[in-house]
Amino acid sequence: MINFIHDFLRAVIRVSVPLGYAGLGELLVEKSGLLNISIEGTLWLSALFAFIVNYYYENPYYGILIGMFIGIIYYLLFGFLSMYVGLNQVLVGVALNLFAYGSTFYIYRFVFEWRERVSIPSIRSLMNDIKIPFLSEMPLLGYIFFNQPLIVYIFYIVVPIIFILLNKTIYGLYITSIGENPEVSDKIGISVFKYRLICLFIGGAFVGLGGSIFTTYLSNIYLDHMIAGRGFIVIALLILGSWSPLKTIGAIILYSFVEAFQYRFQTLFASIMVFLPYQFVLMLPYLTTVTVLIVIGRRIKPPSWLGKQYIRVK
Amino acid sequence: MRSEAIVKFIKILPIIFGFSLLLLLIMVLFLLSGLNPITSCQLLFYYGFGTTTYLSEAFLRSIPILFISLGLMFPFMAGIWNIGAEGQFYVAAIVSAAIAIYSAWMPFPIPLILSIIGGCLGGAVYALIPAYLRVTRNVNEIFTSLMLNYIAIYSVSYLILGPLRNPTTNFAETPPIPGSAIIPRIFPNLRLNFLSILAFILIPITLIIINNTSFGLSLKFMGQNPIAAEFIAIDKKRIIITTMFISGFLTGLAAAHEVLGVVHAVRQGISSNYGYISIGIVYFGGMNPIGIFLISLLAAGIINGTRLVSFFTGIPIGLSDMLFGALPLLIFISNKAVEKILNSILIHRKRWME
Amino acid sequence: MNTNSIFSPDMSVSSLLFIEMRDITKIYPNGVYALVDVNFDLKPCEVHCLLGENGAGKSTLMKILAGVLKPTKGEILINGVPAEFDSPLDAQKYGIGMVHQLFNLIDDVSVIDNVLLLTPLSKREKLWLIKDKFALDFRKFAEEMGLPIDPFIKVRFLPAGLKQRVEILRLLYLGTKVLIFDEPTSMLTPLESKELFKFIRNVKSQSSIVWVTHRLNEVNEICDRITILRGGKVVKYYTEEDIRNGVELAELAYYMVGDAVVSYSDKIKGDALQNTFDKPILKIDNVVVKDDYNNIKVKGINLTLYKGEILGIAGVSGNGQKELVEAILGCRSLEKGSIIFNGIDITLKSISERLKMGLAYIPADRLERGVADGISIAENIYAYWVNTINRFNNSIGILNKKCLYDKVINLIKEYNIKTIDPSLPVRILSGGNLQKLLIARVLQNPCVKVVIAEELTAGLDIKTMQFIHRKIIESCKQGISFILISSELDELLKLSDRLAVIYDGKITKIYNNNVDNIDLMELSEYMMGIKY
Repeated sequence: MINFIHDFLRAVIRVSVPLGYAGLGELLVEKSGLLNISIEGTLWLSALFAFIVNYYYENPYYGILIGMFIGIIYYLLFGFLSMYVGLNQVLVGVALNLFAYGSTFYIYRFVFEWRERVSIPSIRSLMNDIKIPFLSEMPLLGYIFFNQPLIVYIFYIVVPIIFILLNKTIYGLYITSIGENPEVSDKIGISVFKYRLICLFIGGAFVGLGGSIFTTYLSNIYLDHMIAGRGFIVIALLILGSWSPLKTIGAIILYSFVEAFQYRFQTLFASIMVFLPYQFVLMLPYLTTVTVLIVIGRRIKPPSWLGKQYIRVK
Repeated sequence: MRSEAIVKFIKILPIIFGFSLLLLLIMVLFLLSGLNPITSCQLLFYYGFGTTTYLSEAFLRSIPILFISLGLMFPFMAGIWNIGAEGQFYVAAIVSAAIAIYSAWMPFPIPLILSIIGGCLGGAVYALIPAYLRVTRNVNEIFTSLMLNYIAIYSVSYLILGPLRNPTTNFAETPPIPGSAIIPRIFPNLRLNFLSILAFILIPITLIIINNTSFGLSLKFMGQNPIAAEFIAIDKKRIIITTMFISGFLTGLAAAHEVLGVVHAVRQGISSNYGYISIGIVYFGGMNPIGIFLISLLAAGIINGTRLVSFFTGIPIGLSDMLFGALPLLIFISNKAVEKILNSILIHRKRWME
Repeated sequence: MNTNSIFSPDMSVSSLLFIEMRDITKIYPNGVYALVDVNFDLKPCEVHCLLGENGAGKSTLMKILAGVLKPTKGEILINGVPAEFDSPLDAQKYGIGMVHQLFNLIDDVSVIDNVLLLTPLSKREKLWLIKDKFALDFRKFAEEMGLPIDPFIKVRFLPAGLKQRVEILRLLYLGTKVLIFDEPTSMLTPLESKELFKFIRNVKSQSSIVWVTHRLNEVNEICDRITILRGGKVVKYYTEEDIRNGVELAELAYYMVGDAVVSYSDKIKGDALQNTFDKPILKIDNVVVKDDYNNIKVKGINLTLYKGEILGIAGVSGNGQKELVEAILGCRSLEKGSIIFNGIDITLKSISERLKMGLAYIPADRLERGVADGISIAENIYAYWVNTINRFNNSIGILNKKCLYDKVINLIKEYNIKTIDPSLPVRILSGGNLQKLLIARVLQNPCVKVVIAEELTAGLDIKTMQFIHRKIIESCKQGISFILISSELDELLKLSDRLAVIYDGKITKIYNNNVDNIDLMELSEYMMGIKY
């Protein structure tokens, strides 16, 4: 029983880290006022490319790198279309998502089924769990927190860094003010374009990183719908977390609890499905967000200019 | 009135431009896949539109996209971002299927009529949720409609694996739609059904509503300047509710068409992203019913064409999906380009007149 | 006080500045003379008031000082040394800063955050911001200036007056030595203005201040010297001694407004016709309205508008006219009081309902509130008519395009709106033609009963102005009533049957007859709040 709980909690951490990276990435971008719905498509593409690279080079870390690269490119593309070309952010996001859905579908088959394979391509080279020498011996926490792949340890460091960046440095203040009011920010000399570009770059890298974890650690095969709307879940959790890094991570962990629970109890669910269908679980973050929006919608405060077009008037 | 002709031409320009870009992209992708771009394109157009059967298939596939796009025109023109068409489609689909199945005992065509109306209303009511939240609590409809999409998709998934599951096959699908609720075909050897020809009624009706009614005029105005709209006595709340209702209703009609007329069941993936694709199509078609019709037909034919080309030449399927995703992007970009050019022309003209 | 100012590079120079503007002339590219040979100087630790009406050139002069504009002729000397400003940043380097009417503050972050956004920081401080340290320092500074304020409160929650003082504090904290205030009290209630004056007296010791205004009563509170501009020229200058000896406000008013004589031969109204208006059509009863900052801006106004009359409302902008108009239209709610239109209480009715009942609006903000610039000229007119003319409302909604189009063509011809084709987007119209469109579509609406017009003929040439005036009189003869809000005294005097003066949210005077013979001096005193 104890082992079971240990395993479960460890799984929670595992599941929350890719979402955590994606969440932090999108958080950075949204804080600067850009609503990028194509986080979903970015996850799809980075997962796929990470899989391809991992398959051919048999090295998951290359997969992570390509994932980050894809994330950066896709987010910068979003930035280009919405800031430079001046298209509506939401529409660009929807279009980029569609493109990602289609491209992943095609590219996967192009790369693999072209040779008319018999079996599904799978990878042997996933990231290993690394046991941190002293810390992993600790009674409960050791097994849960310190028996994870490298990417999770990096996450432990990334979270406080982002927190400090947003709350304790002047750059965090710049980003916040751009998201709240780019007009005034530009007037007082803070370059809206520059900082948004930086947020897109870092944010895109994080989102790409999150996506790549799916095919370099969590799974050894690639499935067409493996991301299954998690990008939108992240958007929902960002709203619930009031665009604050710690609250958002908290929301992500809560969600991961439920998701990990659902994985473990798939069979159990199957038999008592009438009682608590697994789709309901999947729906939970969306339902919660809508309910919250209804109930305290007036008090939830996104960055004031989130999604609004800002064009600098010379 | 010559200026009016010029204005109309300018509206078509982005479509022509975008279509050319699309053709280019198709050829490039064919090339990359190792095919001869010219012959493959010829093949594509043959399989898309070449024979009566193929043309009718293109038309058939274009219907859901067409209906949804026509519906989306209304809220979009008024500045309401309805991204929830996908969810509205799913809700409408399951509602019409459920009604069809449970009213099967009634004589034809009663179950059919009930299912269609049920589907339309289902979509409309689901669209009213974000509308209501916007009107009463000023909640941004982008977030609400987006979230509701997933709620709908998962709810339907639950239903077709649970209470509405097909007991014979045990697949994730509803039992087949009973005969008394199937939309009859028009011609024996084509899949077109009677709902499909509704397109020819809807297109002119939409045109009339947008261009020739006070409602359509108020819509356009509100989309362009929501602040001034108030001072012109336009009732914004009423417009929000009405446009979303229309959009949901037409989306429901699209769903009824698919479920009752084409697929004859509700399965996982009953909508292949129709709700999202239509968003792009609305812009691609220049926010104009005729444009939308042409583009949906073109797009549907291209999808069918690429699928068949893939099948016969051995390249993997999915090319069309990739194209389809690129479409909206291309169109947005070409729209913006044309807009920028137009603006500079108009500014020059204004200066000249003063 | 923070001495690491990015604004003054040369700390060896005495940190307080003596500024001289000599023979400043500014001619705009279209030939308009905004300023002609203006001399203005500023001494350390003083408040020098720059008075003048709207359009006198005060803003232009100050924009030159702040580095936003360059003078066509003339020079600026700082401590005797000529200085050239190519951009506002140059002026800031000398420590010259402008306090705008719309503050450059970000509402949803805290006061100290707003200060930090502009504070020069070392590399180390940038990466690890110890907000508390700065907050404490700033709070101390604020208290020294007589403004105890919680640095961690979000700017959104501060009333307008406090926001303004935060903006001033920020500039001072960062080392600004010359503060230019452009109409600083326009957003403030009299109570807040008093607090501002107290604040300025504290702040004087650390800086020099230019106080640009057209409100005379402020002059006695804080000015050390006064320069009055009219028509781009300096018409009067008061030294410190003059001020000490006392200045008559009436005299100031006279210099500001000038002895503009209204050519009464132009008066087209009052044809000896009835001029007895006895049917009240709009009754504004003890109306109290708040502004965007939650201050009470309209403080109990009572007005009755009669059928067929023109009621003019004179007043300097910012005294509650905007809020009153919005309350009558219905886009701003009433705190107290009621509005009765044509016998029906409309206090709770929505704006579209009121417009359908026969209320009409000609906005000052033409583009924002009048038209949708992407759709055609004709459609902009149709949209208004189909929603307000009852005849159209009752049909199924299908437009009779031919009929509408003909009406639009007639309208364009009659009002001489210069356009090749009404199907072109409305954004091609020039400002004057746009104004004509807005007026025309209202006047041609048979269901209109009351028109509220703001700045009716702004931007129109004389001929058109006279044409519009004639049209207004015609409409009056047919029973339409007008409320004219204008800063053009001329126009109000020519057209109004009755003239009300609004000051600080109250109607201080109503001239019920003989508007032709109003004593201008007295009128300007009421407008400036000297008499009440």
